[in-house]
Amino acid sequence: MRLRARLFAVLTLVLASLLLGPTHPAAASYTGIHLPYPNGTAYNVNQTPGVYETCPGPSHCSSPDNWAYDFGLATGNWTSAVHTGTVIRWVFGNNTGGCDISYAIYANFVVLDHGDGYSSIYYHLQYNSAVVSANQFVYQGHPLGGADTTGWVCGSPGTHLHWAVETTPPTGSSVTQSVQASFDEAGEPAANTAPTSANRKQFSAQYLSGSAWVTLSPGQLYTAIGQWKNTGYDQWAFNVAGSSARLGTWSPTPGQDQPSQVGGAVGCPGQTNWLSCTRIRPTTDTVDPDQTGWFQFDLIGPPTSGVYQLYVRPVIEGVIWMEDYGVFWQVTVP
Amino acid sequence: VRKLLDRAPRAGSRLVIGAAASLVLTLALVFIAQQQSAAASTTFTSTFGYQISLPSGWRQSTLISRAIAGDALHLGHDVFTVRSDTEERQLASRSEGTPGPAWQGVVAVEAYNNPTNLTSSQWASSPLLAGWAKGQTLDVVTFDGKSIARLTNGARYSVAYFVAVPGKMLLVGERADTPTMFAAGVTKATLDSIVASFHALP
Repeated sequence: MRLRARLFAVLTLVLASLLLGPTHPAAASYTGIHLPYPNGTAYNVNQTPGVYETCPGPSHCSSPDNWAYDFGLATGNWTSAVHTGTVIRWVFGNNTGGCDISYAIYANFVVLDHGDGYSSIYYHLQYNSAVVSANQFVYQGHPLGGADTTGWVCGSPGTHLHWAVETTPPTGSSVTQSVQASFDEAGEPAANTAPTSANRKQFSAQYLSGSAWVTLSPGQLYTAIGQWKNTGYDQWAFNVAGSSARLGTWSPTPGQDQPSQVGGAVGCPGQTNWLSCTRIRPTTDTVDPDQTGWFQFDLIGPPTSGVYQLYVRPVIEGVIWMEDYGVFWQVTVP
Repeated sequence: VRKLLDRAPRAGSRLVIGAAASLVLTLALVFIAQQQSAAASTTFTSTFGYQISLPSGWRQSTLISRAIAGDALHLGHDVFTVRSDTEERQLASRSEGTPGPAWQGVVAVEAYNNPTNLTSSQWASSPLLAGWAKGQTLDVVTFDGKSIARLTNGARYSVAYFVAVPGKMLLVGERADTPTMFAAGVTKATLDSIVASFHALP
């Protein structure tokens, strides 16, 4: 009798585990990724991986999809690359969808190969909304396309982003196995939470290092160097309007867009090699994401003794002042 | 010894006769099976303007096929499967999002409006219309008696043939990239033979 009871208990447990699926992660997560929407935005987690749900359930219960998430983006909301990668599958020509498997073939989607054996997938995208082209290499945070309801989508509203990391499909394959994934800023978000994305911004900079403070006699020149890393997803291109990075003068001394006593172009105090009275250019025309931009510029000793400070801040001209302000050089004239 | 020698030829001829009879019987059975198989295949005539032959056991999926009304681009599609409706519904209940296993090991014919009468090659080489996948190949083949574009290893189909008819484009495709998801007995050769039977109606 005891044996029969034990057997019954074991069978019940096995049956329950088969019906409910594992309640804990079975393997190490894929990490180093950010949420698949732009920095600073937050969207509801409509659905978590099927392994955390009661299956068979509404979705994400079949093995290829069982580590997928649904995020409640609205129509036209941008999706973002969770990691740097290359577009290996690109479909944006469909403009229909509904809560029926027959619509499944009409999903617009992107598959982004991260180059490490894994790819991320972005489904139900908006017709002709691609921000990326076929075979394009993009950096983490780069927008891919707008969210929508193309393909097999359910719910009211049905608009959402179906997202997962999968093993990279070989040529000719459309289906591979999704894997457990953990976002840097949110881990594995629970259903009905709305995690805020810390994905890369379009333009962002991080100060790395710079030359030392100096003591100069009046009129003496000193070539200073500062290094900022491009931590955004777009290239800094000096000659391209809208992505041209510079250092600009900043507060408190001399103040935003104010000429400095220790530098400046012809016609400005110092007559040094600055781009203008208030701007310093990088030494190269382009700086790719993750690369370092070098800014080399002359400092000049002002005519009267004192301690002078030059605060600078990286800027994309006409677009945005970037992070890591508070950097300054100090010139002492004895 | 004489008795044995006398019997030997008789036994040998019996053996030959027996073997011949069984060969004839086998050939007859094969012939009958082929006739039955041929008789069991059916011709499906679609409202999208084509015919296709389906082997025994295959059918048009009522679950996955769809006619789309009021869309400027899509007219709909037929899907041909060997799975039963029950099997398809079981697979469908476990997915949502990506097409999933119910869409594997099937032949589909999609119909599109083509008001500007783009050619087969123009359509197939447009990433927006046909999608794009790394490693895909595009070539021109003879299909249904015409030279048309074939897209292999594309983003949506393992192989797709683009058949232009006046005002419309018909895409004949195989979803065959994940054989582990095929229904039992389905092979790439089966899908190829169904696709090869396609005929656009005038």
